[in-house]
Amino acid sequence: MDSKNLGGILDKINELRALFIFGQRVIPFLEELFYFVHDIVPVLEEINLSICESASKMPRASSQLNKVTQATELATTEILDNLDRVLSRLNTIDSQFQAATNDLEALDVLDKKSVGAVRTATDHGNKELLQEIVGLHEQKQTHLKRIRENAEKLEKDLKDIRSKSNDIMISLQVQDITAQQIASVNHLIESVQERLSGLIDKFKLSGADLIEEIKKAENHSFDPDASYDHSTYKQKTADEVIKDANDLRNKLDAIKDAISKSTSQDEIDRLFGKGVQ
Amino acid sequence: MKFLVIDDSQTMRRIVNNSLRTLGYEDIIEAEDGKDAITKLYGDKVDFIITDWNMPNMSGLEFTRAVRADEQYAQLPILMVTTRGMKDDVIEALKARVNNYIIKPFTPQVLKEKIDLILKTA
Repeated sequence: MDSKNLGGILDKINELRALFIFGQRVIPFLEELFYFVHDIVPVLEEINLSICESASKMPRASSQLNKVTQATELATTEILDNLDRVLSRLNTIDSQFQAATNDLEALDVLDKKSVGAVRTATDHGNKELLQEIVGLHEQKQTHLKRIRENAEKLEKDLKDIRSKSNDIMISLQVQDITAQQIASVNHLIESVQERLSGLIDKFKLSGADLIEEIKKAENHSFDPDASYDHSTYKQKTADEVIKDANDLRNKLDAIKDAISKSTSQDEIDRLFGKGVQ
Repeated sequence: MKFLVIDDSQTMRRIVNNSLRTLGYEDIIEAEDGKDAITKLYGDKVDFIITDWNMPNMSGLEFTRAVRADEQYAQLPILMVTTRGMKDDVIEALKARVNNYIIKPFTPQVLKEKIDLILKTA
């Protein structure tokens, strides 16, 4: 063995020593890593189980939401049916009330005629009888005045009931709007369920057999931004857009008309300059 | 004047129907979606259409485009009643050539106003 070979062996020993030193430093870290993996496995299993459980609960949540929509639709239909009956009864009451008012006025006219006839008949005769009849007529007029006042109040109340019934009907639009909101949430649940099912399939997670498919809503269409908002801001914006579009259309029609009638270039330029930039 | 009311929600069809009756319009037929409405439109004489936007099978927008593509219905009044209230939605509906646009929830007053306006300019 020459000195060159000996030097090589010493280098190798040094490398081994360095390796052992590195090993001594790395082993505690490896131990820590081992304990970490040991601890994390149950957590990961719990997460897997949680994913499977969540995914398995989603079809039920979706089904419950669909039931809410069905129940509110049914209740709304019942309310609308009852409102139809109320409005129909109000129409009947209105007609009866109108007939009673007309009869009352006819009675008043007849009464006045009767007093007139008695006045003529007793003009030169029984003054006391005339006085008594006139007194009775005045009392009747007082009662009639009160009946008319009450009738006016009743008419106002009927109008108010009709108006409130119509308001209730209009408020029931909330059912359509909430149905769209629920459909939107259901769509979101379906998407999450699909993602989770994909994950479960990909990683072959335990408990996958617990998950059932969500029964998808058939061909449902909804506005995800539907809201029950009584402010007129959105309607005003829509009205402005429509007004602008109509103004523009009218100006274009005027230009087309002018061109078809061979109007002078000055007039056409004026139309363009005035409105359509 | 015969109205065709198109909405997939039974509740909304009844509300629009009742509102029209309150305004004095009695001749009303209904459809559940655009596809159903096309069948009813060709099978009946309709003077005025009130349609929702979001519906299954055929949306109100697709329905409007289909109706406008037929020359005989180019001028038929179409009023859209929808929850969609963004400016871009209104523009898209106008491009499809609806005559006017109502955002839900609406009042019978607004419905009357729009019908009158459409009939005045028709």
